[in-house]
Amino acid sequence: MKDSDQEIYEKHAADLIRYATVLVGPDQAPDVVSIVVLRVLNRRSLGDLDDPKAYLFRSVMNECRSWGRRRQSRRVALSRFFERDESASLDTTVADRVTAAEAVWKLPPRLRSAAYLVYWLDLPISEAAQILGVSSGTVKRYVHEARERIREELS
Amino acid sequence: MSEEDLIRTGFGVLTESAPQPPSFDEITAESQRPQLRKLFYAVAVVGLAAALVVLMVSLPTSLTPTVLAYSYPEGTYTYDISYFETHQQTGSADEGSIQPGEVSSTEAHGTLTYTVEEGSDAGTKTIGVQAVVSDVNSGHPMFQDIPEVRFVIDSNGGFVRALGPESGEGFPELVLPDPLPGSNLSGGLPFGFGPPFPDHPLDVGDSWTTSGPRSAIVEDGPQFTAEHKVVRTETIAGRDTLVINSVYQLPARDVTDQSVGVPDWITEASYGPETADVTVWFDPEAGIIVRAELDRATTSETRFEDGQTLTSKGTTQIVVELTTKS
Repeated sequence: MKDSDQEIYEKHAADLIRYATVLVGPDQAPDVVSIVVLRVLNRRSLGDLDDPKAYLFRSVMNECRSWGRRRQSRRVALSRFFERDESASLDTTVADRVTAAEAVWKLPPRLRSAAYLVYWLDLPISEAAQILGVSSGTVKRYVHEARERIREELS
Repeated sequence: MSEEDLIRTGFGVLTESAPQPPSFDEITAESQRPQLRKLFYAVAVVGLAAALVVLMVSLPTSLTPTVLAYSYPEGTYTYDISYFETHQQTGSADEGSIQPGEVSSTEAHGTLTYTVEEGSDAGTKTIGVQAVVSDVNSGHPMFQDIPEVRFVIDSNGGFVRALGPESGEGFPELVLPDPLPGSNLSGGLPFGFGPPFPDHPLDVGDSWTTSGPRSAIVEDGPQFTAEHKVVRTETIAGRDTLVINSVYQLPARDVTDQSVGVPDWITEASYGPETADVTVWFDPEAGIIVRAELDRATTSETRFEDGQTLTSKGTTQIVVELTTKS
């Protein structure tokens, strides 16, 4: 039996909110996810989608791009991460963690998306390409550039 | 710690701060937050307007197979543009400004404003383009200092001619459309991103190929080939769009021609191969490009009279997105 819209959403909700969080920050992420799901449901059932996960991820990415331009500055958004990161004040490697988070947050959205899908979710390149709507070669280039930028940022 | 480990650590921090996702009931409930209520109203208003338009003019639904055309109704269109390019040189020669192996990059943001008018010839459009760069982190992207220029295109998006800022004479090749989008100003033009459309209807899964000279004014030399495919439908910025992917390829070409200004201490110079992977989100009903993403890679080889060599590799990424239309 085909999953209901609710079942499909709940299966991917945690992944979607994390993805939106790394793209626009924790404050905006719930609204991004809500708007994306609402917009899809307004047109069709999630069960009608060939690949709901890929479609929802791609929709979150699209929505985040629009939000990214008009929302709070990177610095303000970044500070919100650490307010919510309870371990930050206790962790002896907090400096490393802050540095790494800042570097990742500074990546352009496309590179951040690709790096998140490949390095954090450990998705195969082909699946990341499907979500990003680009070729596998482009994903490889994105993650390569993400690494280059991280290296430059931290050098 | 490797870059990959740093990236994972960074994402670890970011994802730890992720809030709980909204419940399905919260999303679908009528008593939503103001923002979502606004969305409901917006969807309702837009839906009503669309229904009225369909009733009034009996237009076909937007995403049925249809013959695509760049309609660009008269008006002003503003696109946000993000531009990022990298450049790396390796080889035995000392280029001077860039250390061998060093990657230099330029990142810029700005807007492109198009003023579209009916062309003087039937079926053509004249597009005046004004580029404004608001943020450059280094270097000078190509579109920064180019004055307002005007192009004439046909309804298939094909280049007809360029009109200079004043006389129209001596118009530099730099700002003429190029079949490899992104290699000059045309890369910043949404119509420059879009493929020429065939005369027959297109649906998801359909593909077609195009080829031609690399430049609108330099017709000799290697020909580019391009494969285009309608890969899916997608709703973006409230518009139902066709997502069209194009892969352009241009073979390497010899550019060692002292008669056009190549100094005589360069004994061999080649440019290419070039590739460009371009995706456009095309609104078939409005006949406009809503967003375009471009990834382009180039390389060049130079050999000097002292036997030293220099290899240059460059990448360009451009994202343009329609923000306002009036």
